[in-house]
Amino acid sequence: MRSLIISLVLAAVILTGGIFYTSMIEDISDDFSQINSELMYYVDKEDYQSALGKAEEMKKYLDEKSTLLAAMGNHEEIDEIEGTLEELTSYIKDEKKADAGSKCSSLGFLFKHLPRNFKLKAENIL
Amino acid sequence: MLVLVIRTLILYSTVVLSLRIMGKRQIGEMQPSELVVAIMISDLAAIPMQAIDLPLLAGIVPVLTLVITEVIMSYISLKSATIRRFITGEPSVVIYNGHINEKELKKLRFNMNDLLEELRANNFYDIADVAFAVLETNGKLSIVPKDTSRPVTVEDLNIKNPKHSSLPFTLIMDGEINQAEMTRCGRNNAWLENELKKRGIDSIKDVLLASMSGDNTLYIQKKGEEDKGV
Repeated sequence: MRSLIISLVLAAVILTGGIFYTSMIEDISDDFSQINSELMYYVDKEDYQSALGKAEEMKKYLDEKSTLLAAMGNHEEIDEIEGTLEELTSYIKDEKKADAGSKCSSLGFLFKHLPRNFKLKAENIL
Repeated sequence: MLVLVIRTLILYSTVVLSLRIMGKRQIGEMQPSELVVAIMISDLAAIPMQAIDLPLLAGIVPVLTLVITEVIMSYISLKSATIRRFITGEPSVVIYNGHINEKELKKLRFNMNDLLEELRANNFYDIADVAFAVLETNGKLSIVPKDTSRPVTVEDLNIKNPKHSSLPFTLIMDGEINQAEMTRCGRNNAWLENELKKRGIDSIKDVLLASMSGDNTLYIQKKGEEDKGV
């Protein structure tokens, strides 16, 4: 009976944790997308100082959330985001609008992709 | 390097804990579903142990899910005979009244060599000695010998007052008194020390093992007292 109770408690923890984690990843993805949209806007307007500020804000936010993201997400995916963000920062510093814009698009895709693996969809189960 | 060590320790603890939750049956004779769980757990734990790119939880969550499923299924099996039959199957009578059940053997894909091998493993070298043989759900063969081949019992010998057998009491182990066993056998430390003195042993710490059988026979072996013949 003790094993059954432990199992039921574990099941409840896993299910609740799963739902909570998925919702949290969606929020993080939305926040990243929001910062990225603002960054894209500044790059488009060639306001590189503000764009650099947004890139720094994104890095800070990524640092804050990296443990949460790494808890269940593939570590390679997080490394890819960090790498792309570094490239973006360097393009902004060099005031390369086209390259910076392209990296923003890449980041936009990666941020949207973050919660996809956790959604309860047939493509993830199969 | 340290990351790998810590991940391994966490996964090791998870697997040990999982097996403890699943209970003693898991480490003894395994049912088909338990064997599947054991194989899957070992694989699931091994992958994130070495691949640091994978999150640790990607190994722990599936392991715990398997454990939860196994425990819940075992509980349902306790309550429902139908589920039990589905999960663990049913024992098969392969020898009935001294006759081999060919139909059952074919159904089990169990050939004659397998049957004879299992009989030999159970110390039955002649199939003529076997009355019944049942292939259990854990793959073991249970054998009931014919009356002419079974071991002699106390009843057969008509012994009026057979020696009563009971679990022996382990009173001292590695120089430490087992107080629970002392209470169980109804003796105290003073009695034990007195018994040791009678045998020329001054300290409990010098005793490797002291046990008392059901008929109050005391067995004592001192530390460093090895068999002279070895």
